[in-house]
Amino acid sequence: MQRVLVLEDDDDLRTLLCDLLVASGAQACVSAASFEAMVRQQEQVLQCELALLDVNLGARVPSGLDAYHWLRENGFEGRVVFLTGHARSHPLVRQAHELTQARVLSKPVNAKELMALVRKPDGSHDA
Amino acid sequence: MAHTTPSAPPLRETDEQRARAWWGAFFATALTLLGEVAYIFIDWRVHAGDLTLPTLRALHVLEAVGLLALLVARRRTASSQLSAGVFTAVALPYLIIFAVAEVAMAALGHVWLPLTGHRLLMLGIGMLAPAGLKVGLGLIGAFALESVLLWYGLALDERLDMPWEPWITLVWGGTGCGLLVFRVRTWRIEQRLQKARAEAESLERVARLFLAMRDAANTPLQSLEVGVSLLQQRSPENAALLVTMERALSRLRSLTVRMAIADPLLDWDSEEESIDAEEVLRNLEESLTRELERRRH
Repeated sequence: MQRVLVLEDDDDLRTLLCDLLVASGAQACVSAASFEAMVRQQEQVLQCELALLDVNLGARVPSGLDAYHWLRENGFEGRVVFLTGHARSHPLVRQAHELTQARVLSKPVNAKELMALVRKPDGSHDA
Repeated sequence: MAHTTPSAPPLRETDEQRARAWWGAFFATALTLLGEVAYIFIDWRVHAGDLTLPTLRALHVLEAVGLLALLVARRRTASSQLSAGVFTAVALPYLIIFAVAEVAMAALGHVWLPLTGHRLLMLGIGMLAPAGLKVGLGLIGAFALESVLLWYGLALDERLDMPWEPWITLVWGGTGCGLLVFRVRTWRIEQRLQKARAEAESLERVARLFLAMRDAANTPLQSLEVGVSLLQQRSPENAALLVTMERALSRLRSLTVRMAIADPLLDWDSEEESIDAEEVLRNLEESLTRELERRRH
């Protein structure tokens, strides 16, 4: 069973992602619309095994990369997957690609690929 | 079937080039004004009793005043053609004045250095003529031809011990032509660079527009992708409908993938540059509004 963190500033997508991941086997979904909202839920966030982080959380606000660094600095040991709808050439997206302990998926990501993130290798799930 | 190569669009004149042509015409006219005022008094003394030259110079001064007024009035709107026209209008009377002056000096019998005005003017044309070979070369050619005609017409070769003339004057004319050709060439290179820069900027704007549209579309597309997947799980009875939605989604996905072709054209200024699609679109809208405003005026 996995707990997942979804950090996404778009309300609709955040809700839908949580629904999909829970439907695909995640035990629970901790969602946050911003870096600050994520930090406020520190206890639940750090219990997650998977973090789905949107790279761009809006102009002039902490990005998904800031969230990544905060998670690692606070002992988060789970998998990190970045979601981005932006150009690969942008410095923030490039930095995300350079992180060895994180995957970067470009929006729109196929739903099956998202579901596979919480499914066991044999295709089953614990729900 | 024969293919026709489209001819290259004409190079657009920049504001800077128009301003430079204006300054060339203004400077030449102002110099003429000052020089001719000085020569009214010089000719008054040299040709005492003969008012021909002072009168011609005074008329030239009046013309220069009028042309200066025209240039000042059209300072912001003057085209290069207008500047070239003013330059030509202020230079041409020298042909008459120089001819009359050389004839008068030859008749006086004083010691004088003939064709000095021609030499200085040909060099001045090379340095100041508004960019355009025809006007400049035409004027230099006219003054060079006149200097040769005057030299031999007044039989100065027999009266003066100056074996280097009129050739040295022609060398000055050649130097004036060289200066003019160099200036025109530089001007054309600047125009080509300006055009290339404008094209690059325009392409980058298109690339930014593509990127902003793609970025703005990707999150809602992701929502649709996830939403359709959830519906497939929750409402399998609507499978046929969901298949059509999936097809539409696939088309939209391929469209956004094609838009990514412009990504390599983008040059990000800094890591701080916003990648908020709304902001990029807003900035683009503001740029377009400014451009439309500029074209209206």
